[in-house]
Amino acid sequence: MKYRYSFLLFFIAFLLQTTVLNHFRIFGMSPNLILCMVVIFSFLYEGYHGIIYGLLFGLIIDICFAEIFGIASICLFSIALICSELKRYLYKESMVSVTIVSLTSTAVYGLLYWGIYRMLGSGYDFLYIAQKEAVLLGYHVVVTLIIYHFVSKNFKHRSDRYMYRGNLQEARSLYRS
Amino acid sequence: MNWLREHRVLSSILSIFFILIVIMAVSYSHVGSSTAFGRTVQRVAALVQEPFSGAGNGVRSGLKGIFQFRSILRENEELKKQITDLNRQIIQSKLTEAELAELRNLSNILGYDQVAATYNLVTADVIAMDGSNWFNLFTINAGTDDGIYRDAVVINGDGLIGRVLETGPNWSKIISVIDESNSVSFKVFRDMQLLGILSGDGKGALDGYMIDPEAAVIEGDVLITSGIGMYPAGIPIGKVKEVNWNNDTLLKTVTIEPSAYFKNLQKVTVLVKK
Repeated sequence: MKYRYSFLLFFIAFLLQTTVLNHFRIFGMSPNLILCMVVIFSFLYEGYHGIIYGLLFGLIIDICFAEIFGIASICLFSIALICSELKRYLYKESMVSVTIVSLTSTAVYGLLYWGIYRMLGSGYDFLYIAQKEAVLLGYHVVVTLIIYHFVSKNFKHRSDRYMYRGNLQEARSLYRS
Repeated sequence: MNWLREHRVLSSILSIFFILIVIMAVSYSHVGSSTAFGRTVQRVAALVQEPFSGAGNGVRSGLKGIFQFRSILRENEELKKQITDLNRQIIQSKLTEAELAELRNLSNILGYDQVAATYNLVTADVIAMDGSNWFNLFTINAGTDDGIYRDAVVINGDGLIGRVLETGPNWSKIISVIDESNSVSFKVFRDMQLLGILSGDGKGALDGYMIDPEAAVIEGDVLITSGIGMYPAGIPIGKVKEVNWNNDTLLKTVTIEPSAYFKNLQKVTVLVKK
């Protein structure tokens, strides 16, 4: 995927996350779309889409909503690196892999975010945050799978050019012969 | 230098982390003050977010109307009955002069006259909210062009919301009272002599303590701002949910349920000094 398309998708996700989705909260929670996008783009695609836009949109989120800048961008950057690394060990085309990556990322992001804020003097209770994260885990898996389905159907990644799209049995018989 | 050339990816990652940590450290020491770049980004974001937020609001209202049509009809019938009852009550009850004087006196004590005399009210729409689900920071579509300044007090129909953290020409960043690190002084509405101090409890609500350990505060008491500090007197903060005695500090502590619901804010009012 070209970087300008992924930028557009990230920008749309940012707008939806900060405006429209706040009107449709479930249990008082709305999904962190930028985190889901970073997970998908770092895990699914070659290149630096997730890392670059995680960093960029993390900074924008910090500028627009945070008291202290840099925390969301550090967290999203770290998640992008983790997902890029997980790509080596997990099968990209599997929904199970995407689910595992989404769960891990949400948990790590929450821990990092809480940890940094705690170091900077925030009084937010770990159990309170853990309860919120538990809801978010389920929420993010669903949203990530939906985005994964949408993105993988509509935007081909670079390795797709080597994929065989014909009849599998024919391919096998060709291979045997 | 050779090491850097050999480990280009690792050194880039470490450099980015280093830059981000420096940004974090600098902004930590200057909380609430953006650079010109930050203000420009915020301004552009506010311009783009405003129509999206309006559209989201419209869609939500529309969907609510469709899915809750039956309950709205039922509610409408109940409200009609209530209006009939209330009209009957209005006719029956007449406010005596003494009661009126008492209410005026109460209004002065609460500082409503003071608020009206010393503050202009700027009403604004919430155009974007922090998507982290933890904090209650949000952006409104009014700023320095409307006379808003940093630390101006923000309220809504339910009570105290927070204060302005940062502002630009057409936007202001608001921090809610439950995320606030500063303490707020309060008094009990039932007995104005009972004073206390509260702050965010780290669990999405408020807790505080009474200055007088013997204060007869009870569950359900309504708390209002006392007028000490930046918040003018008389703004409802919330209800006392729980009263406890702390053996370590020898203070009477209170858990407070905020009167405003911070996750669903649409309109707020900023108090701007005349």
